[in-house]
Amino acid sequence: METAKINETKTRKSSIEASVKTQVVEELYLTKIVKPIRSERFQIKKGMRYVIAYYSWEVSVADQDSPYSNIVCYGNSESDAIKKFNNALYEEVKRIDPSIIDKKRCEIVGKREKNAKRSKNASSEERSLEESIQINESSFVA
Amino acid sequence: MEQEMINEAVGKLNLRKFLVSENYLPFTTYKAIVVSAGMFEGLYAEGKSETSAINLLNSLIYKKMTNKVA
Repeated sequence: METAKINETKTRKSSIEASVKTQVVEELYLTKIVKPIRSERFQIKKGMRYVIAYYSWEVSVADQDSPYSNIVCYGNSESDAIKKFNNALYEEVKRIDPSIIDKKRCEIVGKREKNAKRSKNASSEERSLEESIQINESSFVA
Repeated sequence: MEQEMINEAVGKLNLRKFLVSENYLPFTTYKAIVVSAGMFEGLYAEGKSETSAINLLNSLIYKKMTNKVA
């Protein structure tokens, strides 16, 4: 019982943190540039020289005047590079102004609590409605 | 064709893309645009996430590429 409760709290916390991360990065509304980087390697097989091309991806901010223009990330695919870039961006925001993150966390927790309260109220209203229907039905049978 | 294979094929074209986020409440949408000069310049796709926008754009590029070849 206790372990289940701890696990639930952990899941909730990590889900909140993931939302905070996504929203903080999202709300920067940055235009990113995704560039392919071609690298070559030579291979000799049976006396023949082969060129093997490798691609990696570079993600950076398109606007050079942006405070985040120093962040450049690389990945094996476009989505991998974007993911790494977004993580780096979040870390930079956290470093520059951690209050933005705390504010967003409070906002998300508040919204979730409000929604939970609303759905709890709705379900208790449903229950009382069901009860009254049952009462009415039983009085009808009697 | 699988998305991963499409991405790999399109990757070899050496195209530069812009990723733009736009806030259409209550959701943010992402637009991936080709900025390299050439036959794919200006081609764009929109998605609910950056990855989905990029994948959609790559599918479009691939479609255009294979149609041209055929």
